[in-house]
Amino acid sequence: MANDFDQLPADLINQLRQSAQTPSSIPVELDAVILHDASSSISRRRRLRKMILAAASLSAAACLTIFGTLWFSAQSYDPDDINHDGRISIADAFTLARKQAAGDATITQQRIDQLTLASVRLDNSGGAAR
Amino acid sequence: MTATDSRSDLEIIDAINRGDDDAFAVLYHRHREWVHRLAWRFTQNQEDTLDVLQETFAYLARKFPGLTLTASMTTFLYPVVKNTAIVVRKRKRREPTLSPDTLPDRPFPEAAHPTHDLQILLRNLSDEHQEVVNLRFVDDLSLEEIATLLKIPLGTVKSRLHHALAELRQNPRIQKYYENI
Repeated sequence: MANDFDQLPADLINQLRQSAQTPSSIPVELDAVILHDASSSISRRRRLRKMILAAASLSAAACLTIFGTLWFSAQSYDPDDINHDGRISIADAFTLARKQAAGDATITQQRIDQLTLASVRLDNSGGAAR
Repeated sequence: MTATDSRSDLEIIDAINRGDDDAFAVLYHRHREWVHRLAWRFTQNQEDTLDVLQETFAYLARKFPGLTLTASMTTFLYPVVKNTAIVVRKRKRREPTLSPDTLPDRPFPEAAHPTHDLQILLRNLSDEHQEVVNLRFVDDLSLEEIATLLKIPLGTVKSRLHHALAELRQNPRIQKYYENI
């Protein structure tokens, strides 16, 4: 930077630097206080950060568990609830019969009969007894 | 540990972020004299200077872990020192330690009596001109660094410096330095 606005005589620069000196130095005790406070502050913030991370991880794990449980429970049906409508009824027996008619060899007539009987058996609440 | 540490400021900051709390001492010892001098420049009072020094590094410590330096450490610290000095001065004005009868007209007695001729001359300049002269010639910052630090265009820095030096040069006490070249 050799511009006229950016140059001062070296003596003047030295004098300026001398004039800017502080009249006293930093007490050693203050050095110790500043470094101790800084160390405590950094450690505290680091611990806080770890706690926040741990809490966030736990919350995420809890959410996953809750949603997972809800999802699996929604997916698990009674083996006799063929049409997955949440109850055993004659409709399940019809569905099973249609599958058998369509050629599903794994479905026996005995299984269809059992489901038909179960769906028409009444319990005290008026629904199919299970 | 501190004077011989060859790591850059960025490396030291990275070390503190990764858990090396002792590295803060390196950063402190590297910049404390500059912060001290700068604080003195803004406050002109020894007690306030030490308050500003302490609060500046407390502020810096609160940035860890997670500090990311996008410019130089000087550029980061300068506004912190300046603003802390303003806060400390305001606080002192609100909490006078002397009785109202004995309060001086100016809050900082030392400021009214600079000990060096050049300080007196500099104080005749506007605050903005004093600032660029000090940053350029006392702190030895480049014009680009000053522009970044003050968040002003490079052209403004050049203009301020030009006018400040032109004003200084009119003074007979300054002229003698030019005669010796």
